Amino acid sequence: MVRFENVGMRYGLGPEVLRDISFTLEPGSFQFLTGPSGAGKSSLLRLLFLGYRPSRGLITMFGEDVAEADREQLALLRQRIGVVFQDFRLVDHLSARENVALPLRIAGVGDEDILAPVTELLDWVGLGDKLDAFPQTLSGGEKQRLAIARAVIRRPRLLLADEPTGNVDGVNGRRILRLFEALNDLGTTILLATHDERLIARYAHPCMRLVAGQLLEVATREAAQ
Amino acid sequence: MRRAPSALELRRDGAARYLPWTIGLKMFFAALAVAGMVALERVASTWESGANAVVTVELPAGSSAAMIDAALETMRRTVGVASAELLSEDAMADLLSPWLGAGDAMQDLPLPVLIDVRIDEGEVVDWAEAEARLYEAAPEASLETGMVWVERLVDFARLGQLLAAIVLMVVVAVAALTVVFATRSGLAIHRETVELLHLLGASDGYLAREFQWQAFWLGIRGGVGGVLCAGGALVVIGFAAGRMEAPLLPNVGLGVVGWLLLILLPALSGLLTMAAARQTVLHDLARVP
Repeated sequence: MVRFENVGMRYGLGPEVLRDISFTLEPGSFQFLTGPSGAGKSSLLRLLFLGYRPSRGLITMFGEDVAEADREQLALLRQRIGVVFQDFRLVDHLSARENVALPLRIAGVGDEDILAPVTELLDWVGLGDKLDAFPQTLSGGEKQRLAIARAVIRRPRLLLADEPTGNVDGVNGRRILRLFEALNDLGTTILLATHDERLIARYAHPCMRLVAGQLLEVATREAAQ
Repeated sequence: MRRAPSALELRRDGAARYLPWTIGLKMFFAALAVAGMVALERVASTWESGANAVVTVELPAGSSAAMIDAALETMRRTVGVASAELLSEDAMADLLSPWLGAGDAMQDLPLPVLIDVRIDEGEVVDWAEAEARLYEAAPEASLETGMVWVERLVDFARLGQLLAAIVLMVVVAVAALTVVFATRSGLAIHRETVELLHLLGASDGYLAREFQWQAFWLGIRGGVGGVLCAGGALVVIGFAAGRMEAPLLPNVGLGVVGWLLLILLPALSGLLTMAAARQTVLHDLARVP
Protein backbone atom coordinates (compact mmCIF):
# COMPACT_ATOMS: atom_id res chain seq x y z
CA MET A 1 0.00 0.00 0.00
CA VAL A 2 2.78 2.44 0.94
CA ARG A 3 6.40 2.02 -0.04
CA PHE A 4 9.32 4.32 0.73
CA GLU A 5 12.66 3.65 -0.95
CA ASN A 6 15.73 5.66 0.11
CA VAL A 7 13.62 8.73 0.69
CA GLY A 8 15.28 11.95 1.75
CA MET A 9 13.61 15.21 2.65
CA ARG A 10 14.79 18.74 3.29
CA TYR A 11 12.93 22.02 3.77
CA GLY A 12 14.10 24.49 1.17
CA LEU A 13 17.88 24.60 1.08
CA GLY A 14 18.24 23.40 4.68
CA PRO A 15 19.84 20.15 5.82
CA GLU A 16 18.10 16.83 5.27
CA VAL A 17 15.61 16.16 8.06
CA LEU A 18 14.96 12.63 6.78
CA ARG A 19 17.65 10.40 5.29
CA ASP A 20 17.45 7.11 3.43
CA ILE A 21 14.02 6.17 4.72
CA SER A 22 12.85 2.80 3.44
CA PHE A 23 9.83 0.86 4.66
CA THR A 24 6.59 -0.70 3.49
CA LEU A 25 3.11 -0.51 4.97
CA GLU A 26 1.08 -3.56 4.10
CA PRO A 27 -2.69 -3.29 3.59
CA GLY A 28 -4.58 -3.78 6.84
CA SER A 29 -1.50 -3.37 9.01
CA PHE A 30 -1.20 -1.37 12.24
CA GLN A 31 2.14 0.31 12.74
CA PHE A 32 3.55 2.59 15.40
CA LEU A 33 6.05 5.32 14.58
CA THR A 34 8.11 6.67 17.44
CA GLY A 35 11.22 8.62 18.15
CA PRO A 36 12.41 11.56 20.24
CA SER A 37 11.24 15.09 19.57
CA GLY A 38 12.86 16.51 16.45
CA ALA A 39 13.63 13.04 15.07
CA GLY A 40 11.50 13.72 11.99
CA LYS A 41 8.18 12.03 12.87
CA SER A 42 6.09 14.98 11.75
CA SER A 43 8.15 15.35 8.58
CA LEU A 44 7.68 11.67 7.76
CA LEU A 45 3.96 12.01 8.38
CA ARG A 46 3.97 15.06 6.15
CA LEU A 47 5.40 12.97 3.34
CA LEU A 48 2.85 10.27 4.07
CA PHE A 49 -0.17 12.57 3.90
CA LEU A 50 1.32 14.16 0.78
CA GLY A 51 1.79 17.56 2.36
CA TYR A 52 5.32 17.80 1.02
CA ARG A 53 7.38 16.27 -1.76
CA PRO A 54 10.58 14.31 -0.98
CA SER A 55 13.89 15.75 -2.12
CA ARG A 56 15.00 12.29 -3.24
CA GLY A 57 13.94 8.68 -3.27
CA LEU A 58 10.77 6.92 -4.33
CA ILE A 59 7.37 7.02 -2.63
CA THR A 60 4.65 4.74 -3.92
CA MET A 61 1.12 5.03 -2.53
CA PHE A 62 -1.75 2.81 -3.57
CA GLY A 63 0.48 1.62 -6.42
CA GLU A 64 1.14 5.13 -7.76
CA ASP A 65 4.48 6.90 -7.88
CA VAL A 66 3.85 10.13 -5.98
CA ALA A 67 6.52 12.01 -7.94
CA GLU A 68 4.61 11.36 -11.16
CA ALA A 69 1.29 12.66 -9.81
CA ASP A 70 0.10 16.14 -10.77
CA ARG A 71 -1.78 18.40 -8.33
CA GLU A 72 -5.17 16.98 -9.28
CA GLN A 73 -4.00 13.39 -8.83
CA LEU A 74 -2.39 14.27 -5.49
CA ALA A 75 -5.75 15.62 -4.30
CA LEU A 76 -7.41 12.33 -5.27
CA LEU A 77 -4.69 10.34 -3.47
CA ARG A 78 -5.18 12.47 -0.35
CA GLN A 79 -8.88 11.60 -0.42
CA ARG A 80 -7.86 8.00 0.23
CA ILE A 81 -5.89 8.97 3.31
CA GLY A 82 -7.32 9.97 6.68
CA VAL A 83 -5.23 12.19 8.92
CA VAL A 84 -5.60 12.85 12.64
CA PHE A 85 -3.50 15.87 13.50
CA GLN A 86 -1.84 16.35 16.84
CA ASP A 87 -3.46 19.79 17.20
CA PHE A 88 -6.80 18.46 15.81
CA ARG A 89 -7.06 21.22 13.16
CA LEU A 90 -10.81 21.53 13.54
CA VAL A 91 -12.54 24.45 11.86
CA ASP A 92 -13.74 26.62 14.74
CA HIS A 93 -16.76 28.19 13.03
CA LEU A 94 -18.14 24.84 11.88
CA SER A 95 -20.20 22.59 14.14
CA ALA A 96 -19.08 19.05 14.97
CA ARG A 97 -21.42 17.78 12.27
CA GLU A 98 -20.02 20.16 9.63
CA ASN A 99 -16.42 19.44 10.60
CA VAL A 100 -16.97 15.74 10.07
CA ALA A 101 -18.90 16.38 6.84
CA LEU A 102 -16.02 18.39 5.37
CA PRO A 103 -14.18 15.47 3.67
CA LEU A 104 -17.48 14.31 2.15
CA ARG A 105 -18.24 17.77 0.79
CA ILE A 106 -14.75 17.94 -0.68
CA ALA A 107 -15.39 14.60 -2.38
CA GLY A 108 -18.56 16.05 -3.88
CA VAL A 109 -21.07 14.02 -1.82
CA GLY A 110 -24.52 15.63 -1.86
CA ASP A 111 -26.25 17.01 1.25
CA GLU A 112 -28.79 14.18 1.22
CA ASP A 113 -26.03 11.57 1.60
CA ILE A 114 -24.09 13.38 4.29
CA LEU A 115 -26.33 13.65 7.34
CA ALA A 116 -26.87 9.94 8.07
CA PRO A 117 -23.23 8.72 7.98
CA VAL A 118 -22.00 11.78 9.86
CA THR A 119 -24.58 11.30 12.62
CA GLU A 120 -23.83 7.60 12.80
CA LEU A 121 -20.08 8.13 13.02
CA LEU A 122 -20.33 10.86 15.66
CA ASP A 123 -22.50 8.48 17.64
CA TRP A 124 -19.86 5.76 17.22
CA VAL A 125 -17.08 7.97 18.62
CA GLY A 126 -19.33 8.97 21.52
CA LEU A 127 -20.28 12.44 20.31
CA GLY A 128 -23.88 11.67 19.33
CA ASP A 129 -25.12 14.38 21.67
CA LYS A 130 -22.65 16.99 20.36
CA LEU A 131 -23.75 17.20 16.74
CA ASP A 132 -24.24 20.95 16.78
CA ALA A 133 -21.50 21.76 19.26
CA PHE A 134 -18.64 23.96 18.12
CA PRO A 135 -15.04 22.81 18.68
CA GLN A 136 -14.24 25.50 21.25
CA THR A 137 -16.96 24.10 23.54
CA LEU A 138 -15.52 20.55 23.46
CA SER A 139 -12.96 19.00 25.80
CA GLY A 140 -9.56 17.79 24.54
CA GLY A 141 -10.75 14.19 24.35
CA GLU A 142 -13.92 15.18 22.51
CA LYS A 143 -11.94 17.24 20.03
CA GLN A 144 -9.63 14.30 19.44
CA ARG A 145 -12.56 11.96 18.79
CA LEU A 146 -14.12 14.57 16.52
CA ALA A 147 -10.83 14.78 14.58
CA ILE A 148 -10.80 10.97 14.30
CA ALA A 149 -14.38 10.97 13.05
CA ARG A 150 -13.44 13.54 10.39
CA ALA A 151 -10.41 11.44 9.41
CA VAL A 152 -12.41 8.24 8.91
CA ILE A 153 -15.73 9.53 7.55
CA ARG A 154 -14.63 8.79 4.00
CA ARG A 155 -13.49 5.28 4.98
CA PRO A 156 -9.85 5.89 4.06
CA ARG A 157 -7.64 2.98 3.19
CA LEU A 158 -4.80 4.54 5.16
CA LEU A 159 -5.17 6.38 8.47
CA LEU A 160 -2.30 8.49 9.79
CA ALA A 161 -2.42 9.77 13.36
CA ASP A 162 0.07 12.18 14.87
CA GLU A 163 0.23 11.87 18.66
CA PRO A 164 -3.50 11.16 18.91
CA THR A 165 -3.25 10.55 22.65
CA GLY A 166 -0.87 13.42 23.35
CA ASN A 167 -3.55 15.87 24.47
CA VAL A 168 -5.83 13.53 26.40
CA ASP A 169 -5.69 11.71 29.73
CA GLY A 170 -5.01 7.98 30.08
CA VAL A 171 -8.65 6.91 30.01
CA ASN A 172 -9.40 8.89 26.87
CA GLY A 173 -6.11 7.74 25.36
CA ARG A 174 -7.10 4.10 25.75
CA ARG A 175 -10.56 4.87 24.39
CA ILE A 176 -9.00 6.44 21.31
CA LEU A 177 -6.68 3.47 20.80
CA ARG A 178 -9.71 1.18 20.95
CA LEU A 179 -11.25 3.24 18.15
CA PHE A 180 -8.13 2.81 16.05
CA GLU A 181 -8.06 -0.93 16.66
CA ALA A 182 -11.71 -1.19 15.68
CA LEU A 183 -10.97 0.68 12.45
CA ASN A 184 -7.99 -1.58 11.82
CA ASP A 185 -10.23 -4.60 12.30
CA LEU A 186 -12.45 -3.15 9.57
CA GLY A 187 -9.45 -3.20 7.21
CA THR A 188 -7.99 0.29 7.52
CA THR A 189 -4.20 0.48 7.48
CA ILE A 190 -3.05 2.55 10.43
CA LEU A 191 0.19 4.37 11.17
CA LEU A 192 0.21 5.95 14.60
CA ALA A 193 3.01 8.34 15.53
CA THR A 194 3.64 8.68 19.25
CA HIS A 195 6.50 9.26 21.66
CA ASP A 196 4.62 7.33 24.37
CA GLU A 197 6.70 4.18 24.82
CA ARG A 198 4.24 2.73 27.38
CA LEU A 199 1.45 2.99 24.87
CA ILE A 200 3.53 1.17 22.26
CA ALA A 201 4.48 -1.53 24.77
CA ARG A 202 0.83 -2.17 25.56
CA TYR A 203 0.02 -3.31 22.00
CA ALA A 204 1.47 -6.00 19.80
CA HIS A 205 1.86 -3.87 16.68
CA PRO A 206 5.19 -3.32 14.95
CA CYS A 207 7.00 -0.06 15.60
CA MET A 208 9.26 2.09 13.41
CA ARG A 209 11.79 4.15 15.32
CA LEU A 210 13.15 7.40 13.94
CA VAL A 211 16.33 8.90 15.34
CA ALA A 212 17.91 12.02 13.86
CA GLY A 213 16.07 11.61 10.59
CA GLN A 214 16.94 7.96 10.07
CA LEU A 215 14.79 4.89 10.50
CA LEU A 216 16.72 2.73 12.91
CA GLU A 217 14.57 -0.30 13.40
CA VAL A 218 11.27 -1.89 12.60
CA ALA A 219 10.34 -3.88 15.63
CA THR A 220 7.42 -5.63 17.19
CA ARG A 221 6.72 -5.71 20.91
CA GLU A 222 7.88 -9.28 20.99
CA ALA A 223 11.15 -8.38 19.28
CA ALA A 224 11.68 -5.47 21.68
CA GLN A 225 11.14 -7.77 24.63
CA MET B 1 -32.68 24.14 1.85
CA ARG B 2 -30.09 25.93 3.98
CA ARG B 3 -26.73 26.33 2.30
CA ALA B 4 -23.97 24.36 4.00
CA PRO B 5 -21.56 26.69 5.79
CA SER B 6 -18.20 27.06 4.13
CA ALA B 7 -14.93 26.26 5.85
CA LEU B 8 -13.61 29.46 4.30
CA GLU B 9 -15.78 32.32 5.52
CA LEU B 10 -14.41 35.25 3.57
CA ARG B 11 -17.16 37.53 4.85
CA ARG B 12 -15.49 37.46 8.23
CA ASP B 13 -12.25 38.95 6.91
CA GLY B 14 -11.44 42.62 7.19
CA ALA B 15 -10.56 42.91 3.50
CA ALA B 16 -13.60 40.99 2.24
CA ARG B 17 -16.00 42.70 4.64
CA TYR B 18 -15.39 46.01 2.90
CA LEU B 19 -15.24 44.50 -0.58
CA PRO B 20 -18.91 45.29 -1.40
CA TRP B 21 -18.30 48.91 -0.43
CA THR B 22 -15.17 49.31 -2.53
CA ILE B 23 -16.71 47.39 -5.43
CA GLY B 24 -19.91 49.43 -5.04
CA LEU B 25 -17.98 52.68 -5.30
CA LYS B 26 -16.20 51.48 -8.42
CA MET B 27 -19.45 50.23 -9.95
CA PHE B 28 -20.97 53.66 -9.25
CA PHE B 29 -18.29 55.25 -11.41
CA ALA B 30 -18.52 52.43 -13.95
CA ALA B 31 -22.28 52.98 -14.21
CA LEU B 32 -21.78 56.72 -14.75
CA ALA B 33 -19.16 55.96 -17.41
CA VAL B 34 -21.50 53.51 -19.16
CA ALA B 35 -24.35 56.02 -18.95
CA GLY B 36 -22.07 58.72 -20.37
CA MET B 37 -21.06 56.47 -23.27
CA VAL B 38 -24.64 55.51 -24.08
CA ALA B 39 -25.99 59.06 -23.79
CA LEU B 40 -23.21 60.47 -25.95
CA GLU B 41 -23.79 57.71 -28.51
CA ARG B 42 -27.46 58.66 -28.72
CA VAL B 43 -26.70 62.36 -29.05
CA ALA B 44 -23.95 61.80 -31.62
CA SER B 45 -26.16 59.44 -33.64
CA THR B 46 -28.93 62.00 -33.66
CA TRP B 47 -26.56 64.71 -34.80
CA GLU B 48 -24.99 62.43 -37.40
CA SER B 49 -28.31 61.33 -38.85
CA GLY B 50 -29.15 64.99 -39.33
CA ALA B 51 -32.59 64.52 -37.83
CA ASN B 52 -32.10 67.62 -35.81
CA ALA B 53 -30.21 69.64 -38.41
CA VAL B 54 -31.86 72.83 -39.52
CA VAL B 55 -31.51 72.78 -43.29
CA THR B 56 -32.25 75.85 -45.29
CA VAL B 57 -31.99 76.69 -48.98
CA GLU B 58 -31.22 80.33 -49.62
CA LEU B 59 -31.79 82.20 -52.87
CA PRO B 60 -30.78 85.82 -53.48
CA ALA B 61 -33.39 88.56 -53.14
CA GLY B 62 -35.34 89.00 -56.32
CA SER B 63 -34.82 85.44 -57.58
CA SER B 64 -37.24 84.46 -60.29
CA ALA B 65 -40.27 82.33 -59.52
CA ALA B 66 -38.94 79.69 -61.92
CA MET B 67 -35.68 79.43 -60.02
CA ILE B 68 -37.51 79.25 -56.71
CA ASP B 69 -39.77 76.48 -58.05
CA ALA B 70 -36.75 74.60 -59.41
CA ALA B 71 -35.05 74.77 -56.02
CA LEU B 72 -38.23 73.66 -54.24
CA GLU B 73 -38.73 70.77 -56.65
CA THR B 74 -35.11 69.65 -56.35
CA MET B 75 -35.29 69.53 -52.57
CA ARG B 76 -38.65 67.73 -52.56
CA ARG B 77 -37.19 65.02 -54.82
CA THR B 78 -34.18 64.51 -52.58
CA VAL B 79 -34.25 61.15 -50.83
CA GLY B 80 -34.89 61.53 -47.10
CA VAL B 81 -36.51 64.94 -47.34
CA ALA B 82 -40.01 65.03 -45.85
CA SER B 83 -40.95 68.49 -47.01
CA ALA B 84 -39.53 71.65 -48.55
CA GLU B 85 -41.59 74.82 -48.13
CA LEU B 86 -41.03 78.41 -49.04
CA LEU B 87 -40.75 80.51 -45.92
CA SER B 88 -43.68 82.92 -46.01
CA GLU B 89 -43.26 86.64 -45.51
CA ASP B 90 -45.07 86.38 -42.17
CA ALA B 91 -42.69 83.68 -40.99
CA MET B 92 -39.72 85.81 -42.12
CA ALA B 93 -41.21 88.76 -40.22
CA ASP B 94 -41.48 86.63 -37.09
CA LEU B 95 -37.87 85.47 -37.42
CA LEU B 96 -36.51 89.00 -37.89
CA SER B 97 -38.78 90.82 -35.49
CA PRO B 98 -36.29 90.59 -32.56
CA TRP B 99 -33.86 92.69 -34.63
CA LEU B 100 -36.07 94.77 -36.90
CA GLY B 101 -39.19 95.15 -34.82
CA ALA B 102 -42.74 94.59 -35.92
CA GLY B 103 -42.90 97.57 -38.29
CA ASP B 104 -42.73 97.80 -42.08
CA ALA B 105 -38.93 98.04 -42.23
CA MET B 106 -38.67 94.65 -43.85
CA GLN B 107 -40.53 95.76 -46.91
CA ASP B 108 -37.66 98.10 -47.80
CA LEU B 109 -34.95 95.49 -47.28
CA PRO B 110 -33.72 93.10 -50.01
CA LEU B 111 -34.38 89.94 -48.03
CA PRO B 112 -33.25 86.59 -49.48
CA VAL B 113 -35.73 83.85 -50.30
CA LEU B 114 -35.59 80.98 -47.80
CA ILE B 115 -36.81 77.40 -48.23
CA ASP B 116 -37.37 75.44 -45.01
CA VAL B 117 -36.39 71.78 -45.56
CA ARG B 118 -37.63 69.08 -43.16
CA ILE B 119 -36.10 65.62 -43.07
CA ASP B 120 -37.78 62.28 -42.44
CA GLU B 121 -36.95 61.08 -38.94
CA GLY B 122 -34.14 58.59 -39.00
CA GLU B 123 -33.24 59.27 -42.63
CA VAL B 124 -29.69 60.08 -43.67
CA VAL B 125 -29.54 62.56 -46.53
CA ASP B 126 -26.66 62.74 -48.99
CA TRP B 127 -26.21 66.50 -48.77
CA ALA B 128 -23.26 66.63 -51.19
CA GLU B 129 -25.36 65.04 -53.90
CA ALA B 130 -28.36 67.24 -53.05
CA GLU B 131 -26.21 70.36 -53.25
CA ALA B 132 -24.87 69.34 -56.69
CA ARG B 133 -28.39 68.84 -58.05
CA LEU B 134 -29.53 72.11 -56.50
CA TYR B 135 -26.65 73.90 -58.22
CA GLU B 136 -27.76 72.45 -61.55
CA ALA B 137 -31.40 73.45 -61.07
CA ALA B 138 -30.85 76.82 -59.42
CA PRO B 139 -27.24 77.98 -59.73
CA GLU B 140 -27.69 80.93 -57.38
CA ALA B 141 -29.20 78.84 -54.57
CA SER B 142 -27.09 77.80 -51.63
CA LEU B 143 -27.66 75.03 -49.15
CA GLU B 144 -27.07 75.61 -45.45
CA THR B 145 -26.99 72.25 -43.62
CA GLY B 146 -24.86 73.21 -40.67
CA MET B 147 -22.97 69.95 -41.18
CA VAL B 148 -19.58 71.48 -40.47
CA TRP B 149 -20.32 72.37 -36.89
CA VAL B 150 -22.43 69.21 -36.48
CA GLU B 151 -19.39 67.16 -37.48
CA ARG B 152 -17.29 69.00 -34.92
CA LEU B 153 -19.90 68.35 -32.24
CA VAL B 154 -20.03 64.68 -33.20
CA ASP B 155 -16.22 64.50 -32.99
CA PHE B 156 -16.44 66.07 -29.55
CA ALA B 157 -19.09 63.56 -28.49
CA ARG B 158 -16.93 60.68 -29.78
CA LEU B 159 -14.00 62.03 -27.77
CA GLY B 160 -16.26 62.11 -24.72
CA GLN B 161 -17.21 58.49 -25.40
CA LEU B 162 -13.54 57.52 -25.67
CA LEU B 163 -12.79 59.20 -22.36
CA ALA B 164 -15.76 57.44 -20.73
CA ALA B 165 -14.53 54.11 -22.13
CA ILE B 166 -11.06 54.75 -20.70
CA VAL B 167 -12.56 55.66 -17.32
CA LEU B 168 -14.64 52.46 -17.48
CA MET B 169 -11.59 50.31 -18.25
CA VAL B 170 -9.57 51.92 -15.45
CA VAL B 171 -12.43 51.43 -12.99
CA VAL B 172 -12.83 47.78 -14.01
CA ALA B 173 -9.07 47.20 -13.73
CA VAL B 174 -8.96 48.80 -10.28
CA ALA B 175 -11.99 46.75 -9.20
CA ALA B 176 -10.26 43.56 -10.38
CA LEU B 177 -7.07 44.53 -8.54
CA THR B 178 -9.10 45.17 -5.39
CA VAL B 179 -10.52 41.65 -5.63
CA VAL B 180 -7.05 40.19 -6.25
CA PHE B 181 -5.68 41.85 -3.11
CA ALA B 182 -8.75 40.91 -1.04
CA THR B 183 -8.44 37.29 -2.24
CA ARG B 184 -4.70 37.20 -1.46
CA SER B 185 -5.48 38.61 1.95
CA GLY B 186 -8.17 35.93 2.39
CA LEU B 187 -5.71 33.20 1.38
CA ALA B 188 -3.19 34.52 3.88
CA ILE B 189 -5.74 34.85 6.69
CA HIS B 190 -7.11 31.35 6.04
CA ARG B 191 -3.74 29.78 5.24
CA GLU B 192 -4.20 27.08 7.86
CA THR B 193 -7.71 26.21 6.71
CA VAL B 194 -6.60 26.19 3.08
CA GLU B 195 -3.78 23.81 4.01
CA LEU B 196 -6.19 21.65 5.99
CA LEU B 197 -8.62 21.44 3.06
CA HIS B 198 -5.73 20.49 0.78
CA LEU B 199 -4.75 17.71 3.15
CA LEU B 200 -8.35 16.53 3.30
CA GLY B 201 -8.17 16.07 -0.46
CA ALA B 202 -9.46 19.37 -1.79
CA SER B 203 -8.21 20.19 -5.27
CA ASP B 204 -7.13 23.68 -6.29
CA GLY B 205 -10.39 23.90 -8.24
CA TYR B 206 -12.45 23.15 -5.10
CA LEU B 207 -10.65 25.88 -3.16
CA ALA B 208 -11.00 28.29 -6.07
CA ARG B 209 -14.76 27.59 -6.14
CA GLU B 210 -15.01 28.29 -2.41
CA PHE B 211 -13.44 31.70 -2.98
CA GLN B 212 -15.08 32.52 -6.30
CA TRP B 213 -18.70 32.06 -5.19
CA GLN B 214 -18.26 34.12 -2.09
CA ALA B 215 -16.49 36.79 -4.16
CA PHE B 216 -19.35 36.57 -6.69
CA TRP B 217 -22.01 37.41 -4.11
CA LEU B 218 -19.87 40.13 -2.56
CA GLY B 219 -19.44 41.56 -6.08
CA ILE B 220 -23.18 41.36 -6.75
CA ARG B 221 -23.93 43.18 -3.50
CA GLY B 222 -21.41 45.88 -4.32
CA GLY B 223 -22.66 46.13 -7.89
CA VAL B 224 -26.30 46.50 -6.87
CA GLY B 225 -25.43 49.23 -4.36
CA GLY B 226 -23.24 51.10 -6.83
CA VAL B 227 -25.74 50.90 -9.68
CA LEU B 228 -28.66 51.97 -7.48
CA CYS B 229 -26.73 55.06 -6.39
CA ALA B 230 -25.68 55.76 -9.99
CA GLY B 231 -29.28 55.28 -11.17
CA GLY B 232 -30.45 57.84 -8.63
CA ALA B 233 -27.74 60.26 -9.71
CA LEU B 234 -28.70 59.80 -13.38
CA VAL B 235 -32.37 60.47 -12.66
CA VAL B 236 -31.40 63.72 -10.93
CA ILE B 237 -29.06 64.66 -13.79
CA GLY B 238 -31.79 63.84 -16.33
CA PHE B 239 -34.30 65.95 -14.42
CA ALA B 240 -31.86 68.87 -14.29
CA ALA B 241 -31.02 68.48 -18.00
CA GLY B 242 -34.71 68.44 -18.86
CA ARG B 243 -35.14 71.84 -17.23
CA MET B 244 -32.29 73.31 -19.27
CA GLU B 245 -33.06 74.95 -22.58
CA ALA B 246 -30.53 73.10 -24.65
CA PRO B 247 -31.76 72.57 -28.20
CA LEU B 248 -28.46 70.95 -29.19
CA LEU B 249 -29.06 68.10 -26.72
CA PRO B 250 -32.05 66.39 -28.23
CA ASN B 251 -31.91 63.05 -26.39
CA VAL B 252 -29.84 63.03 -23.25
CA GLY B 253 -31.70 59.98 -21.94
CA LEU B 254 -30.19 56.49 -21.80
CA GLY B 255 -32.92 54.70 -23.68
CA VAL B 256 -33.79 51.04 -23.16
CA VAL B 257 -30.32 49.78 -24.06
CA GLY B 258 -28.66 52.14 -21.60
CA TRP B 259 -30.89 51.15 -18.70
CA LEU B 260 -30.50 47.47 -19.59
CA LEU B 261 -26.73 47.84 -19.47
CA LEU B 262 -27.01 49.45 -16.05
CA ILE B 263 -29.25 46.63 -14.83
CA LEU B 264 -26.69 44.10 -16.11
CA LEU B 265 -23.81 45.87 -14.38
CA PRO B 266 -24.25 44.14 -10.96
CA ALA B 267 -24.15 40.75 -12.68
CA LEU B 268 -21.04 41.83 -14.58
CA SER B 269 -19.59 43.05 -11.29
CA GLY B 270 -20.25 39.62 -9.75
CA LEU B 271 -18.70 37.84 -12.72
CA LEU B 272 -15.68 40.14 -12.60
CA THR B 273 -15.06 39.54 -8.89
CA MET B 274 -15.66 35.82 -9.35
CA ALA B 275 -13.17 35.53 -12.22
CA ALA B 276 -10.57 37.67 -10.45
CA ALA B 277 -10.89 35.64 -7.23
CA ARG B 278 -10.71 32.31 -9.07
CA GLN B 279 -7.65 33.23 -11.10
CA THR B 280 -5.89 34.61 -8.02
CA VAL B 281 -6.52 31.44 -6.01
CA LEU B 282 -5.44 29.13 -8.84
CA HIS B 283 -2.35 31.23 -9.51
CA ASP B 284 -1.30 31.43 -5.86
CA LEU B 285 -2.05 27.79 -5.02
CA ALA B 286 0.01 26.60 -7.98
CA ARG B 287 3.08 27.84 -6.11
CA VAL B 288 2.25 25.84 -2.98
CA PRO B 289 4.01 22.43 -2.90
